[in-house]
Order: sequence, then C-alpha cells, then structure tokens
Amino acid sequence: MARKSKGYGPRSKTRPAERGATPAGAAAAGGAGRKMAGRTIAGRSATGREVSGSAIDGVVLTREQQRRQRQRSIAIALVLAALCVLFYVVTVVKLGPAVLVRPL
Amino acid sequence: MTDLASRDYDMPRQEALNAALHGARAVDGLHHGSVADYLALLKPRVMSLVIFTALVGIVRAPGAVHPVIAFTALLCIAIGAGASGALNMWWDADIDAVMSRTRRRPVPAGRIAPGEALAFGMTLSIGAVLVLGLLVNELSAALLAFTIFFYVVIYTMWLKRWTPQNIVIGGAAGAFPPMVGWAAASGGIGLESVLLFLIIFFWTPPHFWALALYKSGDYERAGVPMLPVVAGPSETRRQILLYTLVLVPLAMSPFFLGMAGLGYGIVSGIAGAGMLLLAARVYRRREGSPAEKAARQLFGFSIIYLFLLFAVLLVEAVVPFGSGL
Repeated sequence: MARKSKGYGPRSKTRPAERGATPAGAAAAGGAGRKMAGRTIAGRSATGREVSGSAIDGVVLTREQQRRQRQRSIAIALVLAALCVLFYVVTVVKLGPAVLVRPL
Repeated sequence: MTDLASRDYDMPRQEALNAALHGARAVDGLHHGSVADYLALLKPRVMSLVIFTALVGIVRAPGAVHPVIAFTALLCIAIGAGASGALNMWWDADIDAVMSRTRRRPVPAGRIAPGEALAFGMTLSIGAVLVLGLLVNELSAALLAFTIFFYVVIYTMWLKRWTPQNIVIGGAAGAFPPMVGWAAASGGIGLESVLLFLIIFFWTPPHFWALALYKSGDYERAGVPMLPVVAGPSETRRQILLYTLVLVPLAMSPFFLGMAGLGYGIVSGIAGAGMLLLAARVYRRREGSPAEKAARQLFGFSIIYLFLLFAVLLVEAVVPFGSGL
C-alpha cells in the first residue's frame, strides 16, 4: 500500500486526511469513511452521507465529487489537446511552405 | 476615523482563513471544486479587460503579425492574467472572506482549497510564460513574467496590506498587457505602447478609489489600508480629482502626438470631459447618498471611458479609414 510506505499506519499520530491543507479538511476528514492499512473504518462522507469503507480503500468520494473530478479530468484533457493543436499550427505557420521541403 | 495605518495587517491571516474555511467540505485536504470554480479563479471579468487592452497593443504595433501568432500571444496573456488572479485569490483568501464583494469567491467559500488555487495559478503562470516565449518571442514572455510577478508579489503580497498607495503602484500590473501585446507583435517597446501603459496606470487610481469610497467599510473590516480608510474620504476625493486631471490630457496625447486619428481625439476629449465632470462631482458631494451616487457613477463611467479609448484605437488600427476620422 502506497500510503503505508509513507508511514501512515494505524499507529501513525497523524492520519493522512488530518494532514490536509486546512483545518476544515482535517475536521471533515475525521468523519469520513475510509480504510487505512487494512483497517476498515465506516463513517460519514464529506457531504454527510453514510458510507462504509469495507469495500473501498482510501478516501471515499461522493457521487457529486466523482462527477466534478470527471469534469475536471475532461477539461484537462481538452486543454492538453488544444495545446497540441496550437503547437502544431504554430509550427506550420512559423516554418511556412518550408515545412514540406525540409530534408527528412 | 480609525487609524488603520498602525494596525498589523498580517497577523490575523491564518485565523481569518481558518474561519473562512470553517465548515468547508474537505475529505482529503482537497475541496473538489467544479470546473466553473476553477474558471472563477481566473477572474474572467478582469481577464476580459486584459484581453481587450492587449489586443489593442497587438494591432497598434508596427509591422505585420500572423493571426495565429497574435492569437497565441493573446491566449498566453489572458492565461497569465488569469493565473495572477488565481494566485491573488490564494493569498488574499483571508481578506476576501470578510469583504461582501469577494466572500463568494471559490477559496473563501471553501469550494477550492488554498493549496489547489496556488498550484493552479503557478502551473498556469509558468505555462503561459513558457508558451509565449517558445511560440511568440522572448521579450513578450519576459514582460508577461514580470507582470505576473508584479501583480502577485509586489502588489498582492506586499503593497496591498502595507500602504494606501497600493493601487497606484500596483496599477502598473494592470497597465502592462498592451505593452506585452505590443512586444509580442513587434518584438520591441514603442513610445505608443508606453503611452497605453501610462493611460491605464493613471486611470487605475480614480477607478479604484471611487469604488473604495463606497466600499470603505469592507476594506476597513478586512484591514486593507485603502486611501479612504487611512487618509479619509476628503483626501481621497482630492486625489481622485488630481489623478483625473493628469489622466484626461494624457489620454488625449496619442492624438496630439499624431499617433491616433481625429476620431480618437474627439472621443478622448468628450469622454475625458465626462470623467472630469464626474470626478468634480465626487469632489463636491461629500455627504450621504448623493456622495455615494457620485462615486458609483464615476466608478461605472471610468470603465466605459477606458473601453472607449481603447475601442477607438482598435477601430482606427483595423478599419482602413479609421485613422482618417
């Protein structure tokens, strides 16, 4: 388990979620359902929904959080694709007709 | 008047931020903001003004620039401006949380974690500068990097909480985009681009101080030493009038120096008279709702004024007969 190698075991003084960037993160995480280092902890999700950590390892995202994560992933993919197109077009523009007559 | 000049502005940062984020829904230190929240971090309205002024810089610059290169430059300038906005929201989350105008922003509202905003802003800043340098030219990339640095470090981190002259000096950051656009298109810095810079530079104080006059309570609560809070409304009104007296002839100078056509001369003259009239009204009306109304009118008109100046410069550059008007 990746987290175990970082020293986040059940004996660790600070849990991963408590190392979050904000106190609010830590507070909310205290109630989040999760399973760490083979130990199952059932609890409440960030939005208050009851979740069980028995089948899922790590932090459990709600449906809304999953939907937002997917949207962000799609947005990043679109931006990367647009960057590829931009670099391609600018390369053609900068090289001009010479792009076809360069020795390969 | 509260003596805010003697207050420590940095001390309550973390506490205020913690309070702002109290109750935020975080599972793993991340706040899972939506795509719209990330777009809001870019300050789209500020970005639109930056795009517009940079576009004017590009089209006014001497020589021809390929439309694809111009588009790339504009895109990078826009992303750089947006990244500055994200970094500004990261740093200012504590004061944003206590100001009515800004408390719904993604970081103080708890939809995006401060660390996420920082990472987002840094990634976009570095990306925008690199792409501009690689695809357009090094000078414009250097200017964009300096603009981002100036806005984030000089203005946001240093001046904003330290001196009532914050927006005077910090205004330079908002004035750079036409110069960056000019450099992207021509590879140099011309006198006209310096004039465009100066117009926005001297436009910024009357614009923001008019806003600060009727939002001084917000700034006072947040501990931001804006001029009305530190020096009082009377001094602010005087400063607004003085800066407007410098701004109006300066805005007309491209016409008198032969860099712009008659159309620009007429528009800058008439709109400048409007600015002077409204600034004088702000100076005269000092009590109650008429005073607030005058400040709101000046704030609103100042946006139209700057838009008109740059719109005419744009038209004169792209319409063949534009400069002959």
